[in-house]
Amino acid sequence: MIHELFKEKVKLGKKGQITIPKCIRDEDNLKEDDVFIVQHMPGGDIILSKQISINTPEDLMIEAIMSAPPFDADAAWEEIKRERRQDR
Amino acid sequence: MKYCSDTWFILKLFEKDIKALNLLNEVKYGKSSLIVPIVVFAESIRKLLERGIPQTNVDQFFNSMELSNKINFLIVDKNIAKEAAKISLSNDLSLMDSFVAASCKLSDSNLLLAADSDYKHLIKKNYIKLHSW
Repeated sequence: MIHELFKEKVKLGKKGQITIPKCIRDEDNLKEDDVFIVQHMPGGDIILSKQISINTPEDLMIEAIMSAPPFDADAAWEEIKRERRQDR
Repeated sequence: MKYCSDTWFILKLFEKDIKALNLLNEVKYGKSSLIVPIVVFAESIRKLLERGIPQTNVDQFFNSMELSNKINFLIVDKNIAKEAAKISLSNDLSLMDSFVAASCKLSDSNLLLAADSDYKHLIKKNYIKLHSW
């Protein structure tokens, strides 16, 4: 377990690569091909943050459905049919 | 495949019906697209709220739908309104059914996601094709 304010010096490699210390990779379960965002701050600091997976709108629709209480579609549809027929 | 949704499909989604959810996944992965007539949008919201689905779920569902580039709301324009009036009169259909059918037809959708025998005259005339289960 590493603490919150963990700091370690890392060296920039030939092709601009740096290595994230193994203890951080293990702690956060970082794997090859994980995607990161590099932010260059006005004061010159560089911040590396892990990209959070972005839900698609369809995922959010499914989430809204799955977190809803049980629903009887057939009963609701029967009501709608009656309501529509009254309009004839 | 381009589907047009009647309110029935939205209700089936909220029932967590597997076939409806699979169809939404088809849309998610770009295999199909979905048209939602604006009258279906209104009727679905009313019925879902009326039958106890919380406002937050309804809002998240339709707000996300609006953000999808594979799902489009179809606004009623003059052409759809005229077509709906015509088919309502000639097929003894309610205006709501007629708006849904006209929206399906004029948006060139392949299939209407509905389970309503009231569309039988239009199906017989090959005006629309239904997909239900």
